[in-house]
Amino acid sequence: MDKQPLYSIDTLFQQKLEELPVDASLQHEQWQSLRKSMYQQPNVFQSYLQKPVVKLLYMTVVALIPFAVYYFSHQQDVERKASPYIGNSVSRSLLLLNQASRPIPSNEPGVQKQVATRPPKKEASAVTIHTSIPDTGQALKATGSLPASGKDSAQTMPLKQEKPVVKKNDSSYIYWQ
Amino acid sequence: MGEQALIEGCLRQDKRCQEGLYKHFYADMLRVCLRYAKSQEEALDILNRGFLKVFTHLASYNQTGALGAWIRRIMVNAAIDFCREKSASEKVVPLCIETEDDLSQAFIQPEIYSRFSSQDILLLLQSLPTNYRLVFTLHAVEGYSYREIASVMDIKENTCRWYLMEARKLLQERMKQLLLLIPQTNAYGQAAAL
Repeated sequence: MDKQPLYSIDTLFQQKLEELPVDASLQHEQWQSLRKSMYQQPNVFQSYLQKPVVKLLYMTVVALIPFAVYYFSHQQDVERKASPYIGNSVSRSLLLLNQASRPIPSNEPGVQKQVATRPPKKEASAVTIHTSIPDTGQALKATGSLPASGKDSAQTMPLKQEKPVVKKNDSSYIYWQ
Repeated sequence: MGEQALIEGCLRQDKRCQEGLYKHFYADMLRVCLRYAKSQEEALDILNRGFLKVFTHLASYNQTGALGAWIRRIMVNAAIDFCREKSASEKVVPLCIETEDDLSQAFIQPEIYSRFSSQDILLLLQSLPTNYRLVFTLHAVEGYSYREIASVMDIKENTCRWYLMEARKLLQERMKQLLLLIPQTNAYGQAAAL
């Protein structure tokens, strides 16, 4: 009695699967769908976008957008700050410039210090004239204005008529002249 | 039309030659794809993906082996890629990989062997999880070694062995359950009287 061989699971599956009957009714339909996928025309625009040069170009543009936004926003800030210096208000801009300037400390004697100085007082010049030329008539001729001591009086009271100058023949008068 | 003429026509983008090549190998390749797929629809999907690769890379066929064997290899690779995509969603984590290598197979009596039809065997195979089915089919049916399967599936050899062991266990259990359902027949193919 011949011993029949034993089959392992692997052998069983291998042999049975090789003998498997196949349904060929869908063959034509499958071929049609395969042919459609093989000869499908790609979108021209999409294929153009797939090119590496085009990809690099629009990636560069996208990367530069934040920098452009920052640049233009900063540009507006600069223009806003510069508006006081532009236009009709020249004096205002000069004031701003003067305010912005600072005194420069320097030991050199020749350097002119930019220090805001007071205008010279008119009282000083009037006092000197008063002591040097006692005659009020001469003071008027020299300065063209009344002396400081007589200023107030001139404003409130009418001008006094000056006595005409009388020439004296004695020698003392000559010296005083 | 011979194979050589078909190849030359396909290289010239002759649609009739392409259709002829497709229909010539349709049945064999569908049989191959059914082993890796869970259903007929999946098998047809794998089939068309494979034939697309065949027509795309036909120029690289150097005619050293049979054209059928070359196309079958492409189909198997297409099926593996398809299964890998599918198995990404199936999270099957091997429980113990380092246990002893228990790959001993159960042997089946010839009468038991004859009780299973090809369709039953296909259904049993399709009931396995994707990775189990893939490893079992590549090793048991296609004759791939553990190293080849591990490199193709990008897994370790031990993981491959574990998958094979678990696949055989599952198949044995399900075959026993199926034997209870399949009526026993005598030598003349008649159902045994109850």
